Amino acid sequence: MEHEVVISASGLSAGYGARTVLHDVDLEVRRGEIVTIMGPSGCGKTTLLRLLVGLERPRAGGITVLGQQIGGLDEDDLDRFRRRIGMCFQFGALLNSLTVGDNLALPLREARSVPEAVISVVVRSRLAQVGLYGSESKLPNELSGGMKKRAGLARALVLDPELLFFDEPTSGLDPVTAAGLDRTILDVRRRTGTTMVVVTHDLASAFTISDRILVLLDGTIRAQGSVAEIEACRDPDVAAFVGRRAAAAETGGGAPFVAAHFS
Amino acid sequence: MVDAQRSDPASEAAPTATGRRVALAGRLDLSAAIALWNSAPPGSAPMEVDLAKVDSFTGGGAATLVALAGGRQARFVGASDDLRRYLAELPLADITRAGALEQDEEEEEELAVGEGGLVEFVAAARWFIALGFEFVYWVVVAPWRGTRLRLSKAITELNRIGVEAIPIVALIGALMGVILALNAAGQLRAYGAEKFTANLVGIALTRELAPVITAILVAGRSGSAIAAEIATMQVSDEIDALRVMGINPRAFLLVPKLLAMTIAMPVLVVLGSLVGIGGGFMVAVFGLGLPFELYWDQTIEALHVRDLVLGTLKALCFGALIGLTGCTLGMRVTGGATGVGRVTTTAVVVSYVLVIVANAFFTLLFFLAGF
Repeated sequence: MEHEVVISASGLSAGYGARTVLHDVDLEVRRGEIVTIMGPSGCGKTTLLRLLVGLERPRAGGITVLGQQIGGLDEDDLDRFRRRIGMCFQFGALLNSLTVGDNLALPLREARSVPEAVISVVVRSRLAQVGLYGSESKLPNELSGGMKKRAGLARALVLDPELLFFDEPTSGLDPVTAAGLDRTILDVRRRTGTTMVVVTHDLASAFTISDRILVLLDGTIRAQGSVAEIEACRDPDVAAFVGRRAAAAETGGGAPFVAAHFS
Repeated sequence: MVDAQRSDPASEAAPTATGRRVALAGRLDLSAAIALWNSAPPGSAPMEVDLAKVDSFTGGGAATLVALAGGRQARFVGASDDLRRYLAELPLADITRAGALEQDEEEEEELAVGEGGLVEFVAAARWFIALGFEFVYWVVVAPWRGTRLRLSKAITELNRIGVEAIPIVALIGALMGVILALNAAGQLRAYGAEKFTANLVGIALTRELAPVITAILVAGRSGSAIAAEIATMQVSDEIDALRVMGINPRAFLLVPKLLAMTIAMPVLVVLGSLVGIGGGFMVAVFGLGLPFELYWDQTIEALHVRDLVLGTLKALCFGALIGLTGCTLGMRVTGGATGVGRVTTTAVVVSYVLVIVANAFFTLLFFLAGF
């Protein structure tokens, strides 16, 4: 069945100063999908994600998210738009001066007039959902890296977002914790049908959770498709990235030197 | 065991027709290879290195052989297959073509400030002014439109910026009063005008010294803290997290700090002035023997309400300048932990300059206006 398109971007270019990070990127995400943007470090994945939530402005191209042209929104409209989305940052980005519970309560207190009695139940149950029940009175620096990420996920979920964005959800986690986070992501989608865009370079995680994968190399989308399609992709760089072939392009080439100087 | 061999990594063997011949033995590691590099000064004859007795190698040792081949025209004989294979797998064509690594990136960055610096300065100045207007909007206009002011956060900040600064402001204020009184009395005594010590202490403190000295203390204590806190939140994505939650970081974070700063400064300045006058009073009455009533009457006569108003007005303005500087620089931080340190010190220095410049402007303005 065809679902409505919730994110569409065309001809996106972005950069910092003289450096171009993304050029001519097109993408489309449909409601209920989990789309993974995959690529090596420094390929522009995080920039693309920041463009989609309006944290950066593109140099060229248009982005429509949930029916709104992100580029044309003023700050108040952006704030209203962002209350419909959630984002998990790479290192959690919890406010260090607030307890974990207050971090989760923050969007509820700021964006909606939710009664405190409701907030305490919502916060505790969201924490339980990510396996952090009982951590509400801890400060972020008392949590491990994985716990911070999970608390960040709980905070992103707290307003029941229609769209959820993840920046490297599993990076720096041990395989067991990473798999647990993948399961949580799939659980959330199964239960709520939330559309998700995940940026990662973790192949195992991408192959587990994705409906569709976009491979971003050198600032352009080189391949996209289902997990099976990406695994079967013939593009040598994509193939090298998804690990079917040893990354031979980066090494080798020393033989002539050895021949010239060794006898 | 290997170490025993490492102590004499290279030994001279019979020179060849083309130059020296050197034999390496044992483990070829970075230090052994560097020793070999150092044994051949630039421009020395090409050498032939016998690697037949090398039983193991490290990555650093093998890489130094590549440098030796390039920089010292070395040739190698007797290398193990393992070493050859290791080197063959490196992208040596690219490595040997690439020049020296750039070491002075930071210096270049400093130099580049020349062009980019002005752009950044203008951008920061615009941000600073826009934030000033926005502050007025959030405090004066927004509450009438149903947006509540975050008073509880402002009170927390007020405690940090104002209440916790009371002891230091009082101490410095009192000492300023004492210093002024001692200096003034020494000079005025020559004219038999010691009683005017009270006038000098009172006017100088309320109009000039208390606002400036308090501003300098508050900039050092709280302007830096604001810049560091905001900058740290910026580099750890906390500000972006607020944005993504649909929370305006300026209204949420900056306005309470600015509000606390503009309330705390006038209060601290009045306190500093009063304690300073008290300090001068102690010196004059107990140290110099001026009658209590005389000093009191002189002070009351010299000080007008307008002096207090001027001092308070300055304090309000200085508080806003310090707060806006800390917030602007904190929000515009780039470059991780180094950036946080840089904006923190910059916030203090910029605050000092702005406060002194604004003070000169005010004083000139009041002078011309005849206050």
